[in-house]
Amino acid sequence: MKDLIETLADDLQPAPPRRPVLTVLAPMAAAALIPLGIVVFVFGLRTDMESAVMLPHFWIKFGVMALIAALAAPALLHLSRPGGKPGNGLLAAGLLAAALVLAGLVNLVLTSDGARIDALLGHSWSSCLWKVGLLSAPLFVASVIGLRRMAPTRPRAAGLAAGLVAGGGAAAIYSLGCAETSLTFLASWYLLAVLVVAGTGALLGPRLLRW
Amino acid sequence: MPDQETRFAVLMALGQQGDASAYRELLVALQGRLSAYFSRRLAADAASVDDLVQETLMAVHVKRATYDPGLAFSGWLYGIARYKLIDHYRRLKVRRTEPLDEARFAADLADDAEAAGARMDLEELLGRLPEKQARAIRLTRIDGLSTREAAAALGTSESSIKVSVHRGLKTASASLDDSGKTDP
Repeated sequence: MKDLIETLADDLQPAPPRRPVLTVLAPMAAAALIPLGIVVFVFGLRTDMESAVMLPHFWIKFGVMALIAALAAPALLHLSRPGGKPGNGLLAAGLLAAALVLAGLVNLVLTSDGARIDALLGHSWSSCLWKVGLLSAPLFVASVIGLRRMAPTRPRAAGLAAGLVAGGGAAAIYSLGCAETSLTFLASWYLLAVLVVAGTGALLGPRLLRW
Repeated sequence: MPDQETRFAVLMALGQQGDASAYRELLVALQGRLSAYFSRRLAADAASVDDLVQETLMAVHVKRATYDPGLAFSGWLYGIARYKLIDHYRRLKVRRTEPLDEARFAADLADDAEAAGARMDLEELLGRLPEKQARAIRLTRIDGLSTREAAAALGTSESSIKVSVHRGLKTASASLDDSGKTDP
């Protein structure tokens, strides 16, 4: 043991404190250019963008998804360090999701009988799922690379938080090209896509974040 | 206790700046803390306590940049210790599959030892190797560190670790062959 301590101390190199904002979040922000590019150049922005930005549903979709990511981000930062606890961020993101589901249900009830199926399925429910999943991949990969440079000691929770940030961010970016207007659609397919990404993160966390 | 906390935080902050004597003082103090922590949880298993203290000190070293001097040091330290403890429990439950060359080396070792009729102790074998090679093998093959972690722990490059392990294993298996021939 003395040997080990001597060995470790003898060739000590300076190691300035590593900030999780720069190590984990900054790479995710940089990686967000990839899904953004895919939406703009491959999927296409919504064609009625100029009028859409005047409508609340455009901003609700973008805002709620971005808020999920923003609420989970502090938890991700805390969890990237040894002994870090998630704090209230994950709980807050969960409450927001629950509130969204409630709003979606209320909206569904208020919708007239004939229009319910449309409100729920819209025109793009299946592509919403896989596209948000695809768009979240670069963000999630960036978060894993960042987390591995840190030292998460609760890898499952860290993976979950990374998935929420990546999924929420990807869904917000996806919304720029999505013409769905119903709150029910947001509460079902968007949210499901984010939860799938978050669940994948929790599932892969212990494997990907071992150190 | 709060004084101790501040002292550790200051020593680690100095260590992060490259102050080796502050860092040595910190590691020596942590060794006692960690021994107590693991002993309390693994009372019957003294060998594992030593291993875990060593592993945790190594992890403290490799991940020292993730400590923020503004945060409580003990939260950071025991976060790592707990992680290593959980890892230890998991290893007890699930025998991790060994990498191929390690399995082959272990098999060679067993076969040759049987053929030679000599029960060659692994430690004894490592004792015959140059210190650097023995240490590289111990870290990567016995303690289960990755090449990169071992390189960081010993303050050398990854390629030098690989070379040391390779040469060490070669020498070790050659010496086993020899003992097989001389002592049929």
